[in-house]
Amino acid sequence: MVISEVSSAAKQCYEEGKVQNCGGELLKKIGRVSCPNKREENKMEFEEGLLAHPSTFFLSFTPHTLSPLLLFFPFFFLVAVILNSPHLSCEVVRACFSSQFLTSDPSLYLRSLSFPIPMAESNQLNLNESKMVVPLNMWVLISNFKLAYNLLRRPDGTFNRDLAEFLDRKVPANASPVDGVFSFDVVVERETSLLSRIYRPDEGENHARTLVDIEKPVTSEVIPVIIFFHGGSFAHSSADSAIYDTLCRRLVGICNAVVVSVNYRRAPENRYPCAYDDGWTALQWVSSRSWLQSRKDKKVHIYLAGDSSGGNIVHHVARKAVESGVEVMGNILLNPLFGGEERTESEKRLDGKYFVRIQDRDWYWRAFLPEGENKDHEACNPFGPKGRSLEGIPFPKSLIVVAGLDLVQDWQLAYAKGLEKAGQNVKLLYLEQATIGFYLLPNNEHFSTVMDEIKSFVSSDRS
Amino acid sequence: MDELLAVVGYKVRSSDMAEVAQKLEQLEEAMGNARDGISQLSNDTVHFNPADISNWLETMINNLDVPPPPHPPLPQQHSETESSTITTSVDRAFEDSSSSDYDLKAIAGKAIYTTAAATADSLSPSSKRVKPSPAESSSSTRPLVLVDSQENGIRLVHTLMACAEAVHQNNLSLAEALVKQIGFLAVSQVGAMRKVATYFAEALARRIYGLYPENPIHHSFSDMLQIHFYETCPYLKFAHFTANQAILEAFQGKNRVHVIDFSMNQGMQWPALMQALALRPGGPPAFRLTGIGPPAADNSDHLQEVGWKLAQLAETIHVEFEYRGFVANSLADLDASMLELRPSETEAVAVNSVFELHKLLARPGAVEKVLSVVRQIRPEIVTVVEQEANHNGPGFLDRFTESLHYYSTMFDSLEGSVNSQDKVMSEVYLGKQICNVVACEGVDRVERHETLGQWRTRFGSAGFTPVHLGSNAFKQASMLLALFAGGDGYRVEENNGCLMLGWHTRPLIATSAWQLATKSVVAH
Repeated sequence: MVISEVSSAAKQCYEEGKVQNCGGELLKKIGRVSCPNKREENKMEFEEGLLAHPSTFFLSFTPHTLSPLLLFFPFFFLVAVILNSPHLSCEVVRACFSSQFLTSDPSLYLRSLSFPIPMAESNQLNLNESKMVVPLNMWVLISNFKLAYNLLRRPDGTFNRDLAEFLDRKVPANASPVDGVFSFDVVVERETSLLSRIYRPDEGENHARTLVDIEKPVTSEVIPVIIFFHGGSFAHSSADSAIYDTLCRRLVGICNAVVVSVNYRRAPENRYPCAYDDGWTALQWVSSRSWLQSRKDKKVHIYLAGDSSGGNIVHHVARKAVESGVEVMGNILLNPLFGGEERTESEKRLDGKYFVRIQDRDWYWRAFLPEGENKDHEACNPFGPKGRSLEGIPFPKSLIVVAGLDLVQDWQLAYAKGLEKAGQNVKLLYLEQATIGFYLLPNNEHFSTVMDEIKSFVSSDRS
Repeated sequence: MDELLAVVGYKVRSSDMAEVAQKLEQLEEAMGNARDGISQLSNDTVHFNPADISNWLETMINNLDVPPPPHPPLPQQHSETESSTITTSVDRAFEDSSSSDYDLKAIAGKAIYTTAAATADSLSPSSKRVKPSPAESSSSTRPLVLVDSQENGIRLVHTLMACAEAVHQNNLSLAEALVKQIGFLAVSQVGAMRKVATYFAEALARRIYGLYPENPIHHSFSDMLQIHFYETCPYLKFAHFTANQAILEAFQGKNRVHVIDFSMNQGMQWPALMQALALRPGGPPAFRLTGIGPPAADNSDHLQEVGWKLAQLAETIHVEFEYRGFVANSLADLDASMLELRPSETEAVAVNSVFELHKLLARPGAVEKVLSVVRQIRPEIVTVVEQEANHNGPGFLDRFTESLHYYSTMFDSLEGSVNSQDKVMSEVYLGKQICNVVACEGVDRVERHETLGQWRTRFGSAGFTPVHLGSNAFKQASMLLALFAGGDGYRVEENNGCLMLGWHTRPLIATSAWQLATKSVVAH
């Protein structure tokens, strides 16, 4: 009978480790996590889900060539699958019905699934794997960046800066509040053209600020000032890139904080230590602004935050701050960029699978690190052979967010471990199904998880 | 439009999302297969309007001559008739000019025009109007760039604002008292803030005492001011350069070309274009220039003098040149019949306006009249450069505040330049604009700057569609800045097919290019 053939074919695929069909990812999970006592619950969820979106759920389990036929037998097939797969995991079921997979337009989901995959093209396979774990518009966003970035990196190590600036979507600052946040830019250091964008909560005043009131002192007893370093692997993006302007605005709203986004100099035109120097300059500037002082103790409550290369900058600027006696209350590292000469397991396993390839990572390190240096340089590998110990140093507490589908996670986890071993305060948030860039759009559960964590992280000293 | 992507700068319709995803995959595969795919796309291809991901990908796919995907296309839910992207592929076979003159060089390589007006959401079958995107029609954004905070400047700005508010409320005795205070405070300031404050204070004083308009100044003085402004900072150079780039591209393949310049002044824009035309492979076209300007106070025919100089240049570079100067009090006095237009099969026309169109907004109906005359001219292209600011709002206080911020940034940008004589003259040049914005009203107030978004709406309503400026123009403008900027912090930015020059993150002027709406659908 056709149905049972299909289901056993599916089982066979799994056993052979073949993940050819669109539902491959899901099949792989069968048998990984078993919740036998939840089988009845699963079954009910299945049926409920099926009735809601029969065709979509159904297609996730079928080789595409058979789908037209099986469209006629959704319910029966489902039952057959359940009966044949006693170890169907709760996660799989939940994943199928989560917002990640179901869009309001089932046909959209259909199309995204039924994209043909020739066996020989592992590239195609990879593209489809990444499509399974992020919403479609996020997939488009990140893939678009990936494609643009491929055009910008030249094999000889130079960078097509003009095309990069042409392609980058930027937004100006806006002293008129939008959704409770207004912003303005300050040239913090004219000699180096160092600019920072400052975001402030509107606090209900609802009028455009002018030169007169743009730097009015903060009114809160305690307000965190988050110095943010945008990502881009040291080469891409700016403080006024739309993706980062949006992220910073969201941070202000969620944390009720002031955010200062630093437009640090980028590689390869400006190698190590320019980005760190700019970060340090900005930190000193923020630290000396009387209008940013919390009223409680007349001090600026500074947190450092950053994603990708920005996360790396956070570490190094924090170190400099501690060594210079400037207080930083906490570090927030989102998918921070660390590395080393060794090839780790996660790098090998995830190479090219979720938007990122190792060779790209290598290019960026070569562009940032001093010429002749390798990835065991302290900038890249702070707990590596050339790293300096952090033991006994009053390093700020750290919140480290690691995406489970980021190929540099082994380095990020090693960083967290290194901090821990040096006796530092570390909180690690490991998001199993997150890819790079998950925080750029709010339409996924990782975003809200992380924002909540950041909010409590910077609010711990509030009354 | 997908709202989340729109917020981060990309325009993708939700219903197109899967198709865009497919194109991304298609292009990725093609890039992997093509021998020099990446380098070709990076160095040779001219990119346009990256916010429109779908079209951007499409042009690259076409550029790589990718065969259609091997599997049959997926059933599409949305109407196929709407995806009316029509591409005209222009193979730019000419080599890069060996001239090291950076004034103008159309970068060789394949340029693909996706005539942007053909994007599905802006064209309806019946009307060819471009719908303004909602974000652009809002003029309530206030981009602010400060140069480190000078705490003592606050009092000065505060007094300026208070004075403006008093004027706005017609409390002239209070305004008078405050204006005197500004003068006193300004003395103790340094740098750009002092100069800006002084000019604004003077303008406020003129308004309070009713001393406007100023005595008309001799045109040679205002021309000289503009020349100094041209030398000191890159704004005019950028304006001329980007407009010329668009004109050069529009004149491709034409043997007789005619530029109608609404902003003739000293004719500083044209030597570079003429040189670029002279260097064209296959030889220069015959170049005709019609320069339009206001009458000189001393009745001298300065337009004709400028024409003579350009004729001499044309002779040295062997370009067939014809010139006509046209004196008009206002552009609205022009009719197409006056311009001696020739049939469009024989002569291609470009209309150029640098910092002139906003003056028409002082008289109701004037700009609409001029745009309809431009339509009658049937130009290949219309190039427009305008200040990127809204200094034409109905309320005095808003206008004052907007212009205070705008000119503060302008003056800040000048601080970096070295030559003090040029700098002073440039500041006087800008000071005259400040005076007009603040002190004048009615038909006298001609510095009625409006934003790119506002001009887009206006041109759209008048029957024009955008011609996009691409990555080649962007790159060359950036190079120009690096060579001639005379200071740090200047930046070129791409904005939905237009180019803007600003200081740091604040755009200050914007170049856009337009064509007649009926031209946008060209089947090949």
